[in-house]
Amino acid sequence: MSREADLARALDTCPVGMAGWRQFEKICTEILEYLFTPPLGKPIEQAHTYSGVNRRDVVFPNRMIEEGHTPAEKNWHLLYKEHDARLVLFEFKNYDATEIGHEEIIQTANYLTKTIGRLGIVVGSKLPNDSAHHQRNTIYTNDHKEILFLTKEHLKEMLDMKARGDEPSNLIVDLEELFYVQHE
Amino acid sequence: MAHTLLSSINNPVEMCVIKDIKNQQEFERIFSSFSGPKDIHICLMTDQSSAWIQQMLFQTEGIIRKRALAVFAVLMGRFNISYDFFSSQPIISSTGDIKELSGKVTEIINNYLRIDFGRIKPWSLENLVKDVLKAYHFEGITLTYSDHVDFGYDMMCTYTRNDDMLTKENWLIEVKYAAEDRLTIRYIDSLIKQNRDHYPADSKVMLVTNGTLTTAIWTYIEGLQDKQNISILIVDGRKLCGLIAFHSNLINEYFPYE
Repeated sequence: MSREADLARALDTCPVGMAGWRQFEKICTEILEYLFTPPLGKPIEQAHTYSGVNRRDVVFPNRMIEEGHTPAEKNWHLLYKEHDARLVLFEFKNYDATEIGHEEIIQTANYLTKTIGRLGIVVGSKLPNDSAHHQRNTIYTNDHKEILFLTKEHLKEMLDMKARGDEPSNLIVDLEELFYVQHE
Repeated sequence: MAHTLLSSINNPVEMCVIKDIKNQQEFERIFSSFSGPKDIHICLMTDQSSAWIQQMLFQTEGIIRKRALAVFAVLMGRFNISYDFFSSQPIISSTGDIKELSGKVTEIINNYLRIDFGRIKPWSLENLVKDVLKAYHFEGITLTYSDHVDFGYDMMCTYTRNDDMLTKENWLIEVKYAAEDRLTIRYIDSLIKQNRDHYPADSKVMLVTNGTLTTAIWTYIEGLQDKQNISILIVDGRKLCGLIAFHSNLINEYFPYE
């Protein structure tokens, strides 16, 4: 079986909720690393601030300060340019019955400091609720911080893209454009 | 039949027999379990009416499209269904015996396996699309290319629906060669604006690409239909391959054996 199929299967078999939260983070990080590095740097897991107050799930260094040549390099440069995304933040929410709501989005936005940049990606076992969608619109309007939502289905779609030779980060850029179009 | 097919198709394919399926969820479960996007899946459909199968394929198109799966439905039994340009998925059927059906499936799948867009140039893709449209009964195809003026679309043509009124539709066609420039939301948005400004309101828009669209783009296109009543027909690389595979003359012309 291919690496992509192995990773998709691992994601599908990961239990939702508390029972599988650590496993979910681990498999998602593995998938994101497989999809995006290089050009992104190796992931820094549980990256905490100096005082230890803030602890992000994972950040990927983005050194695409110049445009580059490949579609992947161009995409990550675009995201760097638009959001000063020197580090790309991923937060994982392996929720079962609980909804992914506006509080989770506020928490993610708080992690987007000047040194990290203004791009955060919430990877969930499901899509966040309406209130979370409204919250991210408000955050973008007020602070120009952009928070994208990825689900397990999106991760599997990107694995399929990689398997057929397409560039997986195209989905991130398309989700960003979809957000811009739908923003109000 | 499965055994005969497996030995006569040039590459490995995945084959499943679909019978006694009751609903859409069961169909979706089967398609979800299919492996990688590089494989070809032949579904031998038995014990169902052709209309029911067409309906199921239409309802499960989203999942097949999202995973860019190559799925061919083969109707076991004597059915007279021609694969139409606007059908959701390729359906192979025959009014003849099982041997004839088997021959037809083999030819179409082997055609499909010969398609390699990496072998053709962008301008050649436009010619190919023009010939595909002709093969599926589009008429009056006019290329709109000019060195001086950007008409917004690559070609214009008409299509007559096979309904009681024989409704004639005007189509604007734009072709995108994915290796050079993939379809993006921004691009589709600009095309729509162009259409609104320069073409008759009843013109239908078709975007053809040899590439694959992300679900974000499909979501955007569905939103256009739901919220703004703007309809765009997308023929992506997977659909285009399916359309070409049914016409051996196109395969021989554009993808000759090396």
